[in-house]
Amino acid sequence: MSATSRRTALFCGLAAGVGGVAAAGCTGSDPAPVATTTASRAAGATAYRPFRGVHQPGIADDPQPYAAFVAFTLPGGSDRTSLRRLLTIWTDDIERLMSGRGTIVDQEPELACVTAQLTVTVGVGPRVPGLAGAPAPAWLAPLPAFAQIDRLDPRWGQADLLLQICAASPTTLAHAQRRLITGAGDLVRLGWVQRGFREPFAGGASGLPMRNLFGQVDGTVQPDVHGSDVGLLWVGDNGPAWLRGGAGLVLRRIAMDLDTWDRVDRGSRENATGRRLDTGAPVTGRALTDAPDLDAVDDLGFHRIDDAAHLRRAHGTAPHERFLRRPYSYDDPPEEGALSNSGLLFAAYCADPARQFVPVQRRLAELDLLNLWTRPIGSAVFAMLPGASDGEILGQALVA
Amino acid sequence: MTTLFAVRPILAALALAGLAACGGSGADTSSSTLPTPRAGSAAGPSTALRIDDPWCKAADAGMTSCFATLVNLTDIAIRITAASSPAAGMTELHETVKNADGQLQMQPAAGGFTLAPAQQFALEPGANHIMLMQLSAPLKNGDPVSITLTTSAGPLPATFVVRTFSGADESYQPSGSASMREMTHS
Repeated sequence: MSATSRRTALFCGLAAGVGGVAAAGCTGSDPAPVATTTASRAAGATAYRPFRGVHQPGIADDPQPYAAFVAFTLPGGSDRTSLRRLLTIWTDDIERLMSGRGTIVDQEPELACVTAQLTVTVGVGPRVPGLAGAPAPAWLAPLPAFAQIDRLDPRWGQADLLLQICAASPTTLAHAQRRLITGAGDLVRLGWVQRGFREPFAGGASGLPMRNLFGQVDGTVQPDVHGSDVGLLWVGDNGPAWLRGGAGLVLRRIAMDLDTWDRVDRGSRENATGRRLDTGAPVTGRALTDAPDLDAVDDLGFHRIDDAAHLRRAHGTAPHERFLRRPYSYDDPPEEGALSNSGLLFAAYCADPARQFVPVQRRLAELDLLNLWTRPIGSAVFAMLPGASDGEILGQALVA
Repeated sequence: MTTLFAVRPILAALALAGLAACGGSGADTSSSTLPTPRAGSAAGPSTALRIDDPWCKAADAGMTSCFATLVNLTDIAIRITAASSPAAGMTELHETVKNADGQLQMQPAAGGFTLAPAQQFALEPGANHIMLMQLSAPLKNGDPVSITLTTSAGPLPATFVVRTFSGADESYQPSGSASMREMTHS
C-alpha cells in the first residue's frame, strides 16, 4: 500500500488493506451468503478503478450500477486556452475523486472516501475541436434525422461537453457530480443531466443479466472490445491525432411506454425482440449467447424470428456495423397525469458512429416492432477523449 | 495498489507552466511519500521542504489568497520568511489571530511561518495563507501561478493552480453574532 493510499485510508477511517478492483466484483463461484458481511461491504465501498491509461475508464470496463450523463455548453469567448484551463481542473479533480480523495477545493472530502468504482469519462461535442484549432472527425455531429421515430426534445440535445459519471454508490456519484460542476466555475454552463441505473446485482459469473424496464435482457451480445474487435471501439491512426485512443459516443434518450407495453402478451413481447424474456436467448436458441438462426421458419413457413423483430433489424449486415452498448435505465418522476416516465439511456461507443451505428439505426427506424412502444426523445454525439498518461491532462493533444 | 494510487496533483499545472514533469512511470511518485526533487526547483530546498496541493483562489483584480500544505522533510526547523510571485506586485505571508474582541483577524505574519522538524503546516482558507496583492492580471480558474517561497533552506519555487472557490469566503462570523464581516482582502 502506498503512502497516499495509506493516508487516504487513515483520513477516511477505513480499514487498511481493503480495496482494489477485484474486491468489488463477484469473483467466487459459491453463492453469496444471504447477509452481506461487513467486510465485503467495506471492500465494495473502497473498490476503485485506475484513472490513468491509454483509454479513459468508464467505457470498456464493466458498467457500474449508477450513472449520470452531465452535459455542458461553453460560454461565448471560449477558446483553446479556456479549454485547457477546464481540462486541467477536471483532470486533477477526477484523478483525486477516483482515488478516494476530495478535490483540491473540496469542502466535503469525506464523501470522496467511498470510491465505489467511481469513473468519470470526459467527452467533447462538435464545436470543441474547432475552438481548439484541431480537426474534427466527420462523425462528430448530430445524427441524421430519423423522421419515422424521432420525437427529439431539444432539452436533451447536443452539447459541447459531457461528463459521464458512473459509480456503485449514488452518494459517491452525487458528490463527484457536484464537485466537477462547481470546480469548472464559469468555464462552462450546465446543460442537461440524465441519470440512470442498472441492476446493481447484475454481472459476473453468478450475477443477474442486465434487464431494461420492459424486462428484456439488454446489452449482452457485444463486440469483443478487449480482443478481436478492439478496432471497432477505439479511434485509431486514421482518426485525428488528438482523438487516438478515444471513442465516439452516441447517447440516445429512449422513452419506453410502460403503459402500452403492459397490454402486450408475453408471446408478442418475445416476438417483438426475437428473444426469450426469461433467458434472453434468441427464440431460435436456448442460451443467451446462442447465435440467432435468422433463416429458421415455423410450420407455416414464417420466419421464427419475425421480419420486424428488433434482433433481426439490428443485426449487422456487415462486420463493422457493431458497437459497444453500455445502457442505463431511467425512471424519473412522471409528468402530471402520467403513470410513468421511464426509458433507456442508450449509450453506444465506437470508433466511427457514422459508419458503425447509423446504418443500424437507419434500419431500426425503418422497421422495428419495438418502435411501437419506444420513442427517441434525446440524441447527442460526443468524442470521448483518449486516456491521460502520466503527466498529461485529459485532452492534452487537443489543447496543450 | 501502489501504482493505482500514484496521485500527482499539480503535475498538470507544472506541465502547463513549461516545467518538465517528473518521470518514472509506475513508480509511486505521490507527493506524500519521498522528497522527490521537483524538476525546475532549486536543488536544496526541494529535498528539505515539499509543497502539497498548492492552489490560489480565483480573482479578477486586487488581491487573493493561496493555500497549500508545507511539509518539512528534515529534522531541523525551517522558517518561511517571505513569498514572491510575478503575478502580484506584493506578496505577504498572513496569519489569522483572535483580536481583543475575540474575533478572527488576518494580519501579516511578522516572523513568517516556522515548521518544526517533520511538521506538516497547513495554509488553508480561514487560517494561515499566502496573500497576493496588486495582481497584475486576473487569476482565472485553471491558470497556473508561480510562487517562490523564501525559506531558511533556500528559495523554493512552486506552481499553484487557480481555482474558483466559494467556501470560507474569507469572511468570519464570530460565534454568537449574526453579522458577517467581510474581510477587505478576500
